[in-house]
Amino acid sequence: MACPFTLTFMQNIFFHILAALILIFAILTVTLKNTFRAVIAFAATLLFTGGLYLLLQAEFTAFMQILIYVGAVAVLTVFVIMLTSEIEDLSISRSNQSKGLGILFSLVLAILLIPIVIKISAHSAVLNPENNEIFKIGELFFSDYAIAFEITSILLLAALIGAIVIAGKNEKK
Amino acid sequence: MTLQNLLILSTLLFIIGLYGVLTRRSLIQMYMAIELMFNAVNINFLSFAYFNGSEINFKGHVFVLFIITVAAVEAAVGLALILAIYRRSNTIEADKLTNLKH
Repeated sequence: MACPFTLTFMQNIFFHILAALILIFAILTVTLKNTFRAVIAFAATLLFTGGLYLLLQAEFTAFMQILIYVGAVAVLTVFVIMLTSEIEDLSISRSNQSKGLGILFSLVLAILLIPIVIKISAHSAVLNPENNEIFKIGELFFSDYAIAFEITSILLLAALIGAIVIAGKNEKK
Repeated sequence: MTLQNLLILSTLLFIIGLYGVLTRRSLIQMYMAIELMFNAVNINFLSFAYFNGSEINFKGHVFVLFIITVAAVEAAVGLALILAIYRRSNTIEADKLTNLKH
């Protein structure tokens, strides 16, 4: 899979936009006093980093980044914040006055996404089925890095059991 | 999107994470800054994998996946530890956790 060194204009623009967004949200993550808002900025940083991985032709890694980091790690952090002492500082509004804004955002997202989906599904093949990233990563995982792959599964099992033991309720009290 | 620009981005992200670890008081805020440093390293690996002669070297991608997995493991164990600390001392501020101090 050749690395296209002739960079297109759009690639450069998207890289600079994503880099600026990543740095802005990273600075917000480390400077916001309210921990809940810092977690939101943290999730945004991870999301835009996943977008940057798409530019680097790492589609599978981008999806795993969003799935694992944004979908599990950030959400788990929000749970832990809710369970610890930061509750008094949070100002979670229960009002419904942002319903109009929600509808507006959903409409904008639909108007932006639906033409793209229609255009993509009009072509027959989007991804090269024989020479893409998942293919090459799969080859490496089961040839060169097979031992590390298996040991990672043991590590995940150990972490699962360890987290339950550490954070579980004490029966003795 | 040159290699130089990507490395500058990853260095800046790493420095921001380092600043967060050194300056923040809550354990969860420190943890998020550590995760920012992980992401900076991931961008570094992927950019070197991309700019690798004429072919993309996918070993960088494999290592990034391992880093993401280990970061998820660290999230589980670290946040469980934070919960245990909170249950014991009723605080998660690094200044107030002075049990090990002489």
